[in-house]
Amino acid sequence: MVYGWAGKTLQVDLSTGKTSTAPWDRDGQRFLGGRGGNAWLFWKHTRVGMGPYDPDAPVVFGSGALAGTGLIGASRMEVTVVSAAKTETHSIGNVGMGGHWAPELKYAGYDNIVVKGRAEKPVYLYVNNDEVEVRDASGVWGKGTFETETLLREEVGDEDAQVASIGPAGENLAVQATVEHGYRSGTPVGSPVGYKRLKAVVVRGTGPVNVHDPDAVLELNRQLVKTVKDTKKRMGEAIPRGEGKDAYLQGFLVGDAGVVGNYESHAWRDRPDVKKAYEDNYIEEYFVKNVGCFGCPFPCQPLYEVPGEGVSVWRCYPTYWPWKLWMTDLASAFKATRMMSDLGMDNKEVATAVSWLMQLYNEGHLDSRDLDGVSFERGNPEALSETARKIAYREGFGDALADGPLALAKKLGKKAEDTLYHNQGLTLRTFEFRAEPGTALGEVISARGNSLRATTYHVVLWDKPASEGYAGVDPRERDASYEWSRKMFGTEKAIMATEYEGKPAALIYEMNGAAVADSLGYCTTMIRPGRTGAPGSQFGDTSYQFASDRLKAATGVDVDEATLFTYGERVCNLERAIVVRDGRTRTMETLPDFFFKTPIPDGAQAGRVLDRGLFEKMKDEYYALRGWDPETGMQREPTLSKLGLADVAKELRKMKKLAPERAEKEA
Amino acid sequence: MEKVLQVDMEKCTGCRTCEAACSLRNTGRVHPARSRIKVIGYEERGKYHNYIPMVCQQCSTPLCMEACPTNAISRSPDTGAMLVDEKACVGCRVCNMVCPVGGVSIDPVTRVAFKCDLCGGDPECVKYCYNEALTYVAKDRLDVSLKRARSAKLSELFALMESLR
Repeated sequence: MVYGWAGKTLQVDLSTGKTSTAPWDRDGQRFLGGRGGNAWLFWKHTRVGMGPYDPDAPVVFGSGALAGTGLIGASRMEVTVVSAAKTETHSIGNVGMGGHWAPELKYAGYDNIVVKGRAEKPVYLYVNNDEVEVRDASGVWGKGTFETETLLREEVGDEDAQVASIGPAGENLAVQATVEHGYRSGTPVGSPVGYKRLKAVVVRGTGPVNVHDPDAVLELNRQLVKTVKDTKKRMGEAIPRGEGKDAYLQGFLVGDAGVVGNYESHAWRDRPDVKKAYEDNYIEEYFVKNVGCFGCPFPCQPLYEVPGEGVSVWRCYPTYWPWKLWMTDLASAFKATRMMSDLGMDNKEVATAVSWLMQLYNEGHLDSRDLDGVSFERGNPEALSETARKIAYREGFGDALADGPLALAKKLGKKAEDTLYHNQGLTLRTFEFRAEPGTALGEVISARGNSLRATTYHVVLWDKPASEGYAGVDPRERDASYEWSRKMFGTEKAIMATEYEGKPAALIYEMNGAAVADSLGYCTTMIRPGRTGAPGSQFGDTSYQFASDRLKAATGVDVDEATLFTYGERVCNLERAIVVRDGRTRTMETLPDFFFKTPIPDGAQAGRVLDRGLFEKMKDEYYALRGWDPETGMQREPTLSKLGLADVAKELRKMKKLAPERAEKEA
Repeated sequence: MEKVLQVDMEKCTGCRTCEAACSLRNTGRVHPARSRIKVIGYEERGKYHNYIPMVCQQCSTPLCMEACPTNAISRSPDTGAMLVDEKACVGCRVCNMVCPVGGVSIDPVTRVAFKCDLCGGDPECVKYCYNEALTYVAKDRLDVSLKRARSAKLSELFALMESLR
């Protein structure tokens, strides 16, 4: 009997229309499921040099190992593709999303769907338990993701069917395109799906998921509901975003992460009109209610309605952008986020490109004639909405931008190229890397490229002047957090934002924890093994015991905390193997010169730059802690073997992508 | 004191933990299709999202019991819940046909009628409804508690009027 997992993978070849099922991949169980399981299938189905627009390139959909087991907080799906957005390197691109799609896939009887080939005409995949059909999608091709969901539910005649789809941006192969499920998405993986002419995957399942110990599952849920209720009582409704308050917007005002423009300012937020716009925010006016994912006791999607616009949510991560564009008109920012969700595109990728163009415009390097007549005046909401639309439909300058910001920079000239800060073609997250060395390291060293999943973000505390609630960290718990940090990483500096010391260890702890959560399908906001060291912050329990108890209850896999940690390490190492196979080297793992040379102009962190020597030293330490070769960044054979990845090491050796023997001897 | 399962649909966020818990308790597996309670979603992405948990209301005049040709449905003297005698039930679906709320249907596995039995007076679903859209309340408190919840908004208005005075 298989517990927790469904035990089957669905394989679809869109070129032939053939579908088949394969039994559970026992080798893949090493990676749990979700992000890790998908990475394994990606590794098996890709080869060196495979581009996103190769008919053989797989698009892998997966359900987290514990999604569908009824365990509160486990709901997440994963989509893994050959990245189109990392225009310089491609390799693995993935996104994790909550919602109801992953549990539904389990109830339909599958852990994963591997889609290969390319359809001749637009299609969608309809998975209705063991009936699987590749269906004509001409009725929804060209439609936004909102309408697509409604129309496809009507077409299959089942309101309970769950839909993941691409919008016009994905259809038109814009690299910023996403796969959308219920307003959730956050990384551009949509255009490889669009290339396959796969509009949507519609899933309906009415079967069961077996769990190893039903009583334990129910008991763990009861405990968690109690914790959530207690936490709410103790810390109020503001976590993560409660009614009437948007913690992220508040975070901008009090935190030090609010990069304004294209890394142009921090002090802007102190302007009274800006403060006012973000403080007496639109939320009370437009807030409808919170909605959430399957089994979530703390729904974190605040549903807003701007009259005449309809509803949508602020997706957590893109809330960082209104200030990137000097916007105080938050209702317009909301309209744009809703529009991008419907067009199926990543807010962050689009908004960052716009902030870059705004800087060029503001400094007089571009004028509206260069940009199809659109004004890129700071704060102009139209700059954002027009750019989004032009990318999605490949109009005017949007056509080049849809091939990635580097393609447009090339056309616009040297100044544009110099001010485009990117990592392998992906725009950077809106963090002030110059003041956050650990976050900077995570940005460049993660497999996916920029990602909240690979960052010290969750273990970093700002102790000044942002102590009033930066990123959900309760200042009351600061001392306890420092103590935790000393215990875990030998120094409290490991969790202090501006420090270098101890950061590699903290980052590895965080990355492995995220990999476990993502692979189990656990919500990374609500319950995250390894999340913020502060005892009692969020939902109190940040140990890996939390996850290992749940893994055992649902699947019967009985491992201790430390062993579970190695699962995360294994997933990170498989992803490392993939990117190294595809050309990643140590020298590539750095940020643009700008962050080392141009000091922060104003605000509390004014004057800071990244120190290249200390940054490289962090990298040495990171590779050493990982058991990788510091010279090349390649993995060593013993490291991989110890993690049960001898087969992966063998493949890498064949491709000459394993650290040289001499390095192994030193180890 | 007889208690009832009270649904406050304004509080439901559509998380379906109740479905998972119900099926796990009653079938030993996580199987929402066999859950006695079902969250019906009214969703149009970009427009509205409303969720209504639907479950047997344990009617005062139980049409299912009246209509059952094999007398398989009876009221529990302990909890007041309408119970199905699985041996007597022939799966004719007449109960389903007459039920005003869709509270009873045919189990896809056992092929006989299945419905909420209030878990013998300790409803599992209620324990996980963190937002308290589901509560298990004394029958004579039923009206008051919903009235109290709905009057909360009016009470805010009251405070506002006071402040203006």
